[in-house]
Amino acid sequence: MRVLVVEDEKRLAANIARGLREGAGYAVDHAADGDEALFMCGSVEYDLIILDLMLPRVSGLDVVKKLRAQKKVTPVLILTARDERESVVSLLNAGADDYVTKPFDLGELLARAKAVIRRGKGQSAPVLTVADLEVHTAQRSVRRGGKEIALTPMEYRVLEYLAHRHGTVVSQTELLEHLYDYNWEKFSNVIEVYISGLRRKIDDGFAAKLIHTLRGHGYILRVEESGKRK
Amino acid sequence: MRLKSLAARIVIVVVGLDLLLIALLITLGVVVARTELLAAFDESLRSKALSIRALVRYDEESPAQLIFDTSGLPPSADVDHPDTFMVHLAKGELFARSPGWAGLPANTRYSQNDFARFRENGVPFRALVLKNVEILDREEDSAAPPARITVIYAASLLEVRERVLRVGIYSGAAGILILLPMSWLTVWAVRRSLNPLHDLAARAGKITVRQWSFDAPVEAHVTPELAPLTAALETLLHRLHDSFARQRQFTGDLAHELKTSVAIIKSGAQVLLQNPRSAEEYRAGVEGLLGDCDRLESLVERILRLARTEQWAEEGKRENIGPTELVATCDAAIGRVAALAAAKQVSIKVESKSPIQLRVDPDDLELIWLNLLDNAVRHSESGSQVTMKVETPNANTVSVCVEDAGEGIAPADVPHVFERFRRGETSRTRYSGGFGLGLAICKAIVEAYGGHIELASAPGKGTSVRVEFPAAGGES
Repeated sequence: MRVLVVEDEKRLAANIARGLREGAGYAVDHAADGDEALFMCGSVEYDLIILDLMLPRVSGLDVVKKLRAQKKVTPVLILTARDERESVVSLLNAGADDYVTKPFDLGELLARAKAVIRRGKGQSAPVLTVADLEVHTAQRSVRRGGKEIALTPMEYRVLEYLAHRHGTVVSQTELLEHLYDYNWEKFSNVIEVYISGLRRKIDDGFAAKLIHTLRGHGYILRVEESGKRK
Repeated sequence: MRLKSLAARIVIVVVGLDLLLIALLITLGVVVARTELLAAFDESLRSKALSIRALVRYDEESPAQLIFDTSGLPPSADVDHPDTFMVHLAKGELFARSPGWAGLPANTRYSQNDFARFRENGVPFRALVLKNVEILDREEDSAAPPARITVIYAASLLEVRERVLRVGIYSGAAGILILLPMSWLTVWAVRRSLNPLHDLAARAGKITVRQWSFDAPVEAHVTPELAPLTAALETLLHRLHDSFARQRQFTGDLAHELKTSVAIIKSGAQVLLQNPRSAEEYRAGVEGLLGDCDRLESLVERILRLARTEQWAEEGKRENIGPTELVATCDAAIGRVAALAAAKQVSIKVESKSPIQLRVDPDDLELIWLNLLDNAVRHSESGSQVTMKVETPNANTVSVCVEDAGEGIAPADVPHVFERFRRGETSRTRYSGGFGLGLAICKAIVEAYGGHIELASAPGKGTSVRVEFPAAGGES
């Protein structure tokens, strides 16, 4: 998952980014003002935007309004120091998905971030299920056929993203974009390594293969009909 | 006791004046009536005395003999207190008199034109004295001059008095009858004319902290006596409202700053605890947290400083302070930003001609220069120069100008630079330690000493902040 943190207070942005990277395994970008945030949203497809309300240049509320006017559906989690009812209501009405008031609890921020991302991908339960594969996003653990499977952090991140988008084709570029905050080009060949690792751990020993490669298009996580016949 | 009610005061004044007017009219009426009645009385007195004079006749049988013909005595107007008269002959001997009258009593007061007044048995009388007048009867073909007599005729004044009194009573009663409805009318009219004031008070009474709107009644604007009050109320409300809004904005901004600072510390600590870490990582994390705490501490200090300074300005305390040498405080402030200036490779220069005395606390001066220099250095290009110019443009003013050749401030931001928690929106990120309170504190201090501060800036060319203080003057 790739998250944009829009916060003018450098120290706070650094803490949030570190929390998201270490606590949820997300790739994190930082924008210091509304203009920069809008520019970055125009060039990268984020899975979540964490947005401070009081920003230089373009206020958080205006950023939300502009994003929604551009038909961007990226979930937005607002950070606010104001807890007046009106400002929260106007934010939610403008298209924000959730809010956290400062000073927040980092654990709560992470939980809300995960929930907002899940809902943004049409999944409301914290456990993503594909056939007998279970991805527990809260604990960041994976089971298949009731058996715990140990994954490296990067393998987990690839699998979680595929599970969120299961049934659809995910290109290598999309995976890279959502897994690395910057300079993802230099990692382009590692995706295949992660995929083969995942195949070995998840599909080996099971009749139904879940991870499929569509040559020239990308990867897809789904229950293959042909696999059943085999 | 002094009356508090305006309406009561007005009513009392009006009714009092009415009363005075009525009393004057009654007095005038009584005086006129008395004069008229007395004139008529005197006329009748004169004619009656004349009749007495005519009653003294020569006896037809012995012509030298005088007789008094009692048959033609004039009738008394007042039967209860009959008229009295007395006739003396030329030599003073008593000739005739009304029965039982002893003549003018000792208490008689004479006036010039033959009239006199006296009291008899408590009854006032007015008398006419015809002294030494010829009798009217003439003896035929007598060469001798006619005899001379003195006639005193007196009549009771009681009736005249009663009539005058009656005039007084009637006109007094009429006056009171007029006064009653007039007083009522006055009370009603005064109350009615005070209605706009009551309306105004009622409208003003509806204003609360939540409900600021005040639409004064139209009459309150039109009435000349109320218009200044209404205008003053509106101005006052406007200012109060602004001040409330500013205060609320300040509190909101302050809450935002404090919450942000707490959020930094809290999230920093939580990130540190999120994963197991090495001792070095913990150490670096705690050091970062301490830095965040310092930042919070300096925010609180600055806010307290601002609040204290504004309190001085309100209480007007900063007046009796001994003189301070201005240029020394500039040098001290430059010393304190020297490290930052060296790091940014910015040089600072003071331009001053002679030592200048100011009646300002040296710590306050140093804080102002420190804030201004800190801003100037932070926003300067590396290698450029910051100048402090100390001048005395006239005998009453001392001015200090801090100029930099930095990035400048966008024209749209210039009017807001002295507002609290304002940061130039052009800067992409906050520079460390900046809360947007420095210039607000400078302004508060300068104004507490009766000075003035202004900022001019050209984007790309630099910014200059000019501080003016009243000169120490001749008191030193």
